[in-house]
Amino acid sequence: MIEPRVSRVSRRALLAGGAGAALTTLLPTVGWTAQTPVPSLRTIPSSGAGIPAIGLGSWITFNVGDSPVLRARCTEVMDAFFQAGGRMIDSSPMYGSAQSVIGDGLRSLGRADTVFATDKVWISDTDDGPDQIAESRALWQVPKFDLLQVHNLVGWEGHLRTLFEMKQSGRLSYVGITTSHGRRHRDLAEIMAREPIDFVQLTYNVRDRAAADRLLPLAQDRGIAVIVNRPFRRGGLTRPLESQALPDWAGEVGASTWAQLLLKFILAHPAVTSAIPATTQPHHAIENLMASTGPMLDADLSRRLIAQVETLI
Amino acid sequence: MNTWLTYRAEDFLMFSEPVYWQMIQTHNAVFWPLHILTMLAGLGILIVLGNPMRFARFRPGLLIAVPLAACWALVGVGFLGHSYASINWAAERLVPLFLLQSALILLAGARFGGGTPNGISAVLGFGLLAYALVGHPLLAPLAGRPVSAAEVFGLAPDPTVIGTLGLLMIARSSLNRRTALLSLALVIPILWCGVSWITLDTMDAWESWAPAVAALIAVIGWSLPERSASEGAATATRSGRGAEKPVGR
Repeated sequence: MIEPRVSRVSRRALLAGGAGAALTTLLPTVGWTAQTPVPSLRTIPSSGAGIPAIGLGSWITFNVGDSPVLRARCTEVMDAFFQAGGRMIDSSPMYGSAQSVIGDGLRSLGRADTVFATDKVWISDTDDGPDQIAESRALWQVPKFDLLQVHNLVGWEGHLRTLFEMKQSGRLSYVGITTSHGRRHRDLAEIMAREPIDFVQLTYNVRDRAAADRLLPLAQDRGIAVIVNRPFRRGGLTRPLESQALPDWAGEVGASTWAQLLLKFILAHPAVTSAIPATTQPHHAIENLMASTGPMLDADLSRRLIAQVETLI
Repeated sequence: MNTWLTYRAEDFLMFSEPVYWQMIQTHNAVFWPLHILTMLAGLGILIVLGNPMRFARFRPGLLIAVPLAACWALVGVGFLGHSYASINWAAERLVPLFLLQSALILLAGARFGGGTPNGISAVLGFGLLAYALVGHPLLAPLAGRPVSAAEVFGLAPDPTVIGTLGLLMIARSSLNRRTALLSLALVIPILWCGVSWITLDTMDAWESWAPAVAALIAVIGWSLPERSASEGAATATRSGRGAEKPVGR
């Protein structure tokens, strides 16, 4: 049974959520307003701290190279994201220029202290991990990372040792590990069962639900926060769906777009702490954040969404 | 199941199509006005290749190889090592291959005596070289991108590689044989065509046909029997019009 893990939502908040969703279409022209609902927070089990249930991914979308125009566009996305209440931005040394784009954006927006800086270590020689982390931090231009994850389990034993040492000495708040595309779930489960990690990042969406079999329940049991990547399958879900009519029940959960429905499906799982959709559009960043307001899908609506998406795609 | 078997080409693509074309445009802006020089170099190569014997006293092999090798080095260091590396960290690792190709071209040029190109190889080769110089840069405006985003011979890899494939086929027809050195010089351009085709195809860019077709033409042309590929050139060489320096066979 899938139960929403958000706090109870009043009718007033629900109505505000719907209005907020509708408002997102106007945001590029009118800007963010104080009346719009605040994204819901989820709890990080290991610390009890709250974090917005929607973060911002940077794979592909923020890898824009040296183009000043495209870098400025990414800063606009970050600005909209922060103004709408977002905090977590996720990146990796693997993502090309994304780290430096984020760093420049944070500096120009003055958000280096606001961001929940989430990055990864991704290098096969674990002795080089500390240098790569230092380089990443310099690119981000932040005093320290909030969360560092071992990317795709590469050299995970050595890197976890490094990250635990950093956490122990106060240079890092949380330690995590990532996978994607449903790969290496068995290995990941063993690590989750054995190591005292704070976060795990994995793929979970309306079409890729393998994580729900073992990893998500295990995360709940072990008190590990879950970040969900590829919520839209890199546009593979949203692109074909955008020309389709929304289910007639979408309004009941305050969703005005397919993207919001897909995110509400993910956030409905009680183990999920945060989903990290990536976008190049400022209004999409806001629209995504608003998916965490209002009710999530209950078990019945989740089943109906799965069936409907499988029919349409 | 082996984890690697679950990967697809799109899993390795770390940038979007608009970003790729924007990178080309930025690259052009950084290196302008070198385009004029590289295009003139390409034109010069075309002229010398048309009748190497006319330039016999200037060592036509080097007249062709030096500017072409410079173009490969420029594309390797400038495009792969600088511009493309800004959105694809793997590009930097290809720089040594482009420098190696540059050296191979110089070596082949130093040994090339040159004869009159003729036969199917020559026709295909001149076609590829002409396309690289004139046709390929037109893809950008044809696709609705600005002329400033055009891929130009000597600065962008695809036209440089396609032009080189053409040049190698012409050289083969001039020599009336596939020397080991020329065959070796074909490897990196063919590999790049594969990389470029997969990249563009994964981005759903319709231009992906260009490197794929060029590589196909080169492979087919190279596979043709000597006589049909270079018919006429042999006659020219035998009659003393073409000085031939067999290499590596």
